[in-house]
Amino acid sequence: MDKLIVFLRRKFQFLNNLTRRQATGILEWERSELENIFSLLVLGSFIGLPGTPTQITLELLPYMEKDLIRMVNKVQTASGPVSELFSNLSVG
Amino acid sequence: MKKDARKIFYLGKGGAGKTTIAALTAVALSQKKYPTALISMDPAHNLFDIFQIQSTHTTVDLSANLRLEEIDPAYWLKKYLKTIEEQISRSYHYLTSLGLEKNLQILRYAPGLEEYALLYAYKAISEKYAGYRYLIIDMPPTALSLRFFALPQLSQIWLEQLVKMRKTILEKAKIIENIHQKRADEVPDRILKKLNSLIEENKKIYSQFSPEGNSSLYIVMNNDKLSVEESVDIFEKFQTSALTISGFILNKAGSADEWLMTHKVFRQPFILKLHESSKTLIGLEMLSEFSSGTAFQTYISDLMPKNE
Repeated sequence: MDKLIVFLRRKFQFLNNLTRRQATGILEWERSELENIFSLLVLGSFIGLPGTPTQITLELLPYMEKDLIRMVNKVQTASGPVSELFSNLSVG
Repeated sequence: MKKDARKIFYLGKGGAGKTTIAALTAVALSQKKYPTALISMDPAHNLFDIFQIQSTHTTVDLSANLRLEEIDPAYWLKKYLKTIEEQISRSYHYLTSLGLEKNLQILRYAPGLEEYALLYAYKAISEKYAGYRYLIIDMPPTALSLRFFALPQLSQIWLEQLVKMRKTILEKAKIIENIHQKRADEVPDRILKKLNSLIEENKKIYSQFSPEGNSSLYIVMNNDKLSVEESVDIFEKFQTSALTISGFILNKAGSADEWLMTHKVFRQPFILKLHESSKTLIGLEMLSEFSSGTAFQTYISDLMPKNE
């Protein structure tokens, strides 16, 4: 009986995590896109985009290490935006 | 409560007489025993030349109540980049060995940093002379002055937009954490904190340029077409911002100035109308003599506190 309860509990936990992950997938993608846009706005002048006044970029630069890493990582998937979108929407 | 120094900014076309009017104002106020600082923000300054001072220093005490200072934007830009370099060194430890200072110095040529260097210098100057009664500021020629005054407002638009975006990102992160039943991270977001502190700092500076912030902005102009057109331009540019021009000063007025009335901005009387001096206004003695004239004294008494 105990084994059954443990089994059911684990099963429930698994399903619970799964549904929560599914529920947040799009939200996480949306957040990640917003973070990319934020980084592009603040740091875009370094890659030739018209952007934030230089002094604001310089003031924020010391706090944007993670954002810089994210921008570099994003470059690797930038050539396949459609595949990324399909992956996020669980198509295919 | 100690009141900040009253700030008087002189703007206008190059050669209109901003430095001379600023020098006359500072001399007259200091002779009335008000501690006065006369600051030249013009990168091509000639403040010391007007007082016939030869000094290797940027600051000179001319009398007990009069201090002169010439701002060197290059110095302030270097100083600003140094603080950024220190912050970056603290955050990106692995970069310190790459000669960050040398590489960041190239940023001094970045567009927009010239006016920021002036604003950075202004922040330091207004704090340094907070105990003075008057801060007379001789501004650079029009283009740089306009960018200087527009910068806080422009930065504010950007900062507010970035704060809005950052808040949306953080809200979404919080929703995700809640769904995953993770304990919310209580550490405040460093970027949002920095953005908010920049907004506060920006508002503080911007408020200092308004009459409520104890400041007056005067345009110095001559009785000639080019000077007049440029002054009208400055006035109109300010009308699109939250700052206001307190008045116009007509230097070297001449006798025929009725034509100025064709511009409706000059239908209000000039704050000060000065005729060309028969002598060259150079040196403390000459400036002192000229500023004791009736027209200038009336102008000075309007600048002085009414309850003293």
